[in-house]
Amino acid sequence: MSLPIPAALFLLLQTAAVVPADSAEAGPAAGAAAAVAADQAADAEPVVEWTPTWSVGVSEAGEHPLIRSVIQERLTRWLQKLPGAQLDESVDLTRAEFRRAARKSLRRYALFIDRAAADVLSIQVLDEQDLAGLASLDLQCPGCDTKGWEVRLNEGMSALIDALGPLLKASEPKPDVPAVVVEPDVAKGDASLSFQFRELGSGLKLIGVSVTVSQGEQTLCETNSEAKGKARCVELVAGDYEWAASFTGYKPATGKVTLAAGEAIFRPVDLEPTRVNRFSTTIRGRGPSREVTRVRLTREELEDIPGTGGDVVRAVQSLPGVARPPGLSPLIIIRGSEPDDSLFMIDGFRTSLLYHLTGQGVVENETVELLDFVPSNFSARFGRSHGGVVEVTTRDKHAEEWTRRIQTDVYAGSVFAAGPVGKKDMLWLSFRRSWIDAVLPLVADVLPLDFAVAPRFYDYFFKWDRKISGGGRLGMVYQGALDKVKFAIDQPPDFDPSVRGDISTLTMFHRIRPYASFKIGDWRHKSSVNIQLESFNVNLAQAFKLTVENYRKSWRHEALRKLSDSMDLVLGVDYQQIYYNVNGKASSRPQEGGGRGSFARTESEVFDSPGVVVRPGAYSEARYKSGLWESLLGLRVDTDGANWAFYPQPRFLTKRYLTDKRFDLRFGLGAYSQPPRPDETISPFGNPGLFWEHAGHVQVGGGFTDPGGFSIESSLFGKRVIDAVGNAQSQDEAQGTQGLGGLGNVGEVRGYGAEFLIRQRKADFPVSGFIAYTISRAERKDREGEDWRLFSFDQTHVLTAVATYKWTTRFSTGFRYRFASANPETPNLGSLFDSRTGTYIPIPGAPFSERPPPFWQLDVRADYKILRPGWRLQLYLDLQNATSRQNIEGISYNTDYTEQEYSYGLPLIPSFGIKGVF
Amino acid sequence: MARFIVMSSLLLCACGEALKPFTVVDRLRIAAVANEPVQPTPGQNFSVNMLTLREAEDETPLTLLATACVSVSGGQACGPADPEMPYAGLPTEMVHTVDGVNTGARENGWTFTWPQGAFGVGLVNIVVVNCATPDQVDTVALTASLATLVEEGEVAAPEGWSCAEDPLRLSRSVWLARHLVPPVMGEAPSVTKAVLHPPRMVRTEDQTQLEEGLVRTALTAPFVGQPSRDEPRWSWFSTSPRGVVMRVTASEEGANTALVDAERTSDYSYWAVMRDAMGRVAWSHMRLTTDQVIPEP
Repeated sequence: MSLPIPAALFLLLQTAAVVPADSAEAGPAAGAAAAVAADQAADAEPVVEWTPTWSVGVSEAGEHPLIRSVIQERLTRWLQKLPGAQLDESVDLTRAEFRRAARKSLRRYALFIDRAAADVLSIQVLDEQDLAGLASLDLQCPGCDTKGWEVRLNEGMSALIDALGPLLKASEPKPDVPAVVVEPDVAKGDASLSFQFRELGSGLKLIGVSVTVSQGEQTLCETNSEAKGKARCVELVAGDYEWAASFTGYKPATGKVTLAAGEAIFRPVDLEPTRVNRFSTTIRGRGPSREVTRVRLTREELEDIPGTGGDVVRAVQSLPGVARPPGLSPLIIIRGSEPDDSLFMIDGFRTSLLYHLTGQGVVENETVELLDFVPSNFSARFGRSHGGVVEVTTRDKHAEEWTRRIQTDVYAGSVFAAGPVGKKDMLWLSFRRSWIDAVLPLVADVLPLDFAVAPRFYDYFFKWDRKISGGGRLGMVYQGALDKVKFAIDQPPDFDPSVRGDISTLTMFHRIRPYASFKIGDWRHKSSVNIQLESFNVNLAQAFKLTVENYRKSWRHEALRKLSDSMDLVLGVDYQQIYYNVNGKASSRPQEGGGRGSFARTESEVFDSPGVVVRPGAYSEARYKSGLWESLLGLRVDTDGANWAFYPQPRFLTKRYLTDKRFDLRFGLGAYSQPPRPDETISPFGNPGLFWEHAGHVQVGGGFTDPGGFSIESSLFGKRVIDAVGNAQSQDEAQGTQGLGGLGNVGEVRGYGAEFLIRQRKADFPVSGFIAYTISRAERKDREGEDWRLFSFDQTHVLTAVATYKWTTRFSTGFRYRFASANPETPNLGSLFDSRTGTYIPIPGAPFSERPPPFWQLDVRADYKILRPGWRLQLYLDLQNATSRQNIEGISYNTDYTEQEYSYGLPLIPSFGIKGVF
Repeated sequence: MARFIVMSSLLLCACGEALKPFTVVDRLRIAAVANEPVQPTPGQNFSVNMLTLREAEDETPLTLLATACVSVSGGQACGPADPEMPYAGLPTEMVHTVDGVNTGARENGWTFTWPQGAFGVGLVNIVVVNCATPDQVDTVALTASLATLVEEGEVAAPEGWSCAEDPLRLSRSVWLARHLVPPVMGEAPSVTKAVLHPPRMVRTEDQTQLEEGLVRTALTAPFVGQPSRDEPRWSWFSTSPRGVVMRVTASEEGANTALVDAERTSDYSYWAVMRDAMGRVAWSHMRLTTDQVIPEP
């Protein structure tokens, strides 16, 4: 059969078939075909004229928030692009009914919008003449209201129309379209052939696979797989048969089978995915905008980023606005903010530990659903911070079957399992333990360190989630992580010979988080309580000891109500109570911009400071949408039990779509307040009288987002912090006996710059990746009357380019290239011997006035998958710093600061990993 | 917490590969500065002594200058607002030699008078210049040069000076030291001077895994009288044909170990320097002669 359609686009096109007229097992589609065939047979006209026109249908109301009338309104524009399109006005339409009607009207193409699930809007495009699926899209829009879903539907239809371009151009049917010949006198038998179609490697059940069973030239059965990927052909006579299966996005499969009389054969078929899948597109929504810039990355996108060792959380260090951290240190420096100024959230609650000390995220890859990165101008939902936000959302989508995964690399090994328990409950479990303590002794001779306890970590995750009535959820998360390392210093560092003994750190958290989402009246509520125990201990060679123990109780409740078609309202409570105990022994506390210092320079003090912090917060957001404008006005009010001072923080965001809604312009302005950090308020080095720092964020941006997966975003940003905590006394003056004390709200911070992000993640293109570039400047003024100086992590240029190329379904390679200006350094002009400690104090020059040569690094990665029915094995090799470039990480000095040299970062680090999924 | 992580990583990263470690003393090293009495009172004279070490063969000229004041401003150096402490005697100098040959160790001393009615922390600034200078050092020119040095990191040698590292540049041939002299604190008992016995060296029981010809020894420099309970930290220096080596230890007795040539062609010197949290500094030294037998423990 010849059709005016590029063969590459329509792998599923098959010859129209004669279907047993009374086949009840062949599924609705086949049944519909049978009905058509029966009608045609009754008219004794063997030739049926299909028209290349379109039927469009919307499913019966399921749990989805989009109502039918809204969908119809949104479709009006798109129906004009579908030749001869006719909308099926039937209410409570099932997919089978719709297809039957479409066939009856002899409209060849059918587009069906399925609203069965609350969180997915599925669009299927079918060729009814050939009984084939042409395209399918699953639109997702986490957290969206109906307006958001409307936007998503538009995006999806736009992508679909683009993809179907060749088909739509060939709208005129050829006069010699072969007719479907109905053979009414096929012999009936009592044998049957059943199939179950699964995706090779994952075992995912495939619905909609087109399968034909034929004998020679005669097609005896044609049907599509339905629930659980099953399809069945019945009433077959004994004999030899050939079967063929095809499905968009998968390689076709064929086979032969011999049936005896009365025999029922079951044939599981695993279809291999093609390298790219033009029509199987999942459009992940941006959701209703709560921020000017929000970069959302899925686990699948994050996992393969070269240079991250496959760690999804670590990948955030490659995003625009994030400065390169020194060496392997797990710091996130966002738009010139100190790492402690940014929020690191897991499921809406702050965590003090987002990374293990070896750089891996504390949340195991498979438990991550999404990672959101908001560099500034974040929503009123977040507070007590004026940096950026990194939020990890753990998995919440229910699956039909259990999945298990075992993974190991040179750093750690992990196990993961997820699956349903009954119809409403879902469980996720994971555990990971590092291997490093076992690997390091093998290379101990080449390391300069003597590990008393080699680095080790573990993390675990347990989540239970239940679907409740009204589209609500009930569940609980229990997770935690621990890091421990201890090593002996054989040779004290040159800058401080007094440092001897062990260096050890211990960090850990354990949290339990029950949650519920439900609807009461017109309000949709989300409520969650987080109870967290966290501890941080550092012991630096007997000269510095610090233990921070927090028992953190938090509660977040958010209620959303739609006030009108164009306006909705969010009200929220964000309550935090922390019981802390800080104890240790130190001579000073490190301060941004301070010198390297000597632990022995001043007298050590022993301290033990327990206390309680109570910080209630409340917020409200009103979203208004009118035409091409969308605005969000938020207000957050925080207070502190220390003095019950109130800190109102208004935040405003507006977005205007251009006529082509793939383009938009955005503007954000907001106020942000942040309490002083615990170590800044606790005696003997802190000042209990410190109050909150206040910041203003402003951002102007614009973007182009192609629903298919290509996007460009750019923004100009600025930030100003007043009342920043700093030393009220200059370092120069403080070198006497009093040490570095006298903290006060005396500093100022400012930062500004521009960011660009180009992303490619189209499913029909073998290349995916992004290019992120930031040019910025971050400055500080330590106290009134002083000049502005550069922030110690200021990096003028940061460029990251990531690309992955899929050579085949099984094999892909990728690279990550990073270029960044080096962190500024304060030159040392000489030194001063301090007789009390016997050490040399550097005489600093202009603060951060020198910058070493820039950093660049190339990481490469190769992935190979072994796909087998029901399981797959993924092997990867990740080479960090593949060229083994000697990058400068800082400047080292000899003991009296008369000589200096660059210290270099790590050479090539290979990481090999294996992941088995079954 | 992030700053603590950075601090930890700095400790790990601050290891240059080409730079000589602090244990190798190949240029002049200020080892210690001490004053007596430890807590002078206004109107009282007090002495300041400084111990420096460098390689024995290094006989380039050294010029040492010291000024003192009662620090009111809290700065690193004495300023116009800080009451000056006048000299109460001539400077002293003792170059340690063995049979007329330098060991590399040198002790210099100055005596000052704490002005009546001046309260605060005593601050002694010492400048060590490794340059050949005219007979009469122009202190005004030197002060101006030092000011330039701490402003810019580089400064030319004053006219007529010839410096060891670079004859025309003062920058690489000058060392600055700051010594704080704590006053008596109210009713608190006054701090007495710490005195050390000369170091004692014995063979250790463990003589395994040594290069041929070396003996492993243990060194101690006990206090005279009560040992310090105030977190004493110890620095050890040894001078020998192998060069000047520094080691540190934190034990109360200052116990340290040293590898010594069994057959020695010249005398070795060992210096123990103790500092404690009370601000006391003391040092003592021993000489290990060529024919001296290292006693068993």
